[in-house]
Amino acid sequence: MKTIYRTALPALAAVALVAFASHAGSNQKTGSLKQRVQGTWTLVSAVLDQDGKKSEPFGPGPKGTVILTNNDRFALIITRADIPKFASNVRTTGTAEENKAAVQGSIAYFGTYTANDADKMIVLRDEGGTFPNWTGTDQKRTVELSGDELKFINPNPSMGAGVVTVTWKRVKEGRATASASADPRR
Amino acid sequence: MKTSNRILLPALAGVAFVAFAAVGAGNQKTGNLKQQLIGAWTMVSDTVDQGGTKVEPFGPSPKGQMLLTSDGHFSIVLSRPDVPKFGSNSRTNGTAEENKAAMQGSIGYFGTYTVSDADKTVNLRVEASTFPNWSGTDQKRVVALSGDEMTVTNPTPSIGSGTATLVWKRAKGARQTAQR
Repeated sequence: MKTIYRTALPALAAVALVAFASHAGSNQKTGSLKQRVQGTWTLVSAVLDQDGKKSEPFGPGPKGTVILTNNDRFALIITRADIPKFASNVRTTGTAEENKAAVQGSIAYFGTYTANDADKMIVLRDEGGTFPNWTGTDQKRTVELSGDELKFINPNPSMGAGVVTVTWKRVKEGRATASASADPRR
Repeated sequence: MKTSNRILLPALAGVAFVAFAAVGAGNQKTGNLKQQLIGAWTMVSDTVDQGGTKVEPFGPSPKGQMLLTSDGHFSIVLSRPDVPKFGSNSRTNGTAEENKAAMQGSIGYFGTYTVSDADKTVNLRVEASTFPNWSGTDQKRVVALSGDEMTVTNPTPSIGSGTATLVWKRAKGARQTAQR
């Protein structure tokens, strides 16, 4: 029996290690740029720099999210926190002023993405969204990652001239924490 | 060696099974409703029935995507493919007509969601939306699943009256396909 344990235990440990290493691959914080940007991010700030003059194109306290999935899809939405509600309560019957405030105060688009490690860049292929000029285009963003913070730097923002830096914070995963307790090694 | 193999092989198989079952749990298509809904969905059609009259609020070939994450977040973006581009190429310099077409032809919203197995409903807690009236609201949807297709019914659509029926198809990702 002693011989069996000497052989069996390292073998069992090796199998368990390989299995869990492949599991960790989907959540890992190190590795390729694509692996590191995957997940759900919430907006911290959006700042427009026009020749040194800084402004907040979505106002103070903007709301937003970007989700980057492990099967190459993304969605990005940013809105001002203070867009006036439509008096009609119907999206298709806004007044000219209501439409203007909503369009100027928000953007949403989705599609597929790729990540380039060498250039530290992600390319968002816009399949559809609220700003028609971006539909069908590739939106390139330089990416900076630091811990749970992600920055998108965009030299061609949807409001025209300037460079926009959008800062995101990783959403804490409730489910990932819960599933860790199912680890049979514990 | 013969005896040790008889004990070792089933033991190894057992450990491997438990370990890979845990890995598979995040992707499974069976199980509770939430587990079945998690993933990326692309839009097939969006039809609103207004007292027997059917309208397609985003046109005959709408573009849309719904992401439902395992950590309880969602994002939905829908748009007509034929919204005219802005002449200025700047989102903040649209004409009244351009703004109107963009507003009437698209919506995006995001937040967190919960699922009720008993009611077959999804409650979308909208954190913010391009349609400001939905920001901070709960949007309840009835869902029906059939294979890789999901039908979502909304009795309070953003175009006002009627009942909207949205059909979604599970997005096949390059990476998911490669894993199979």
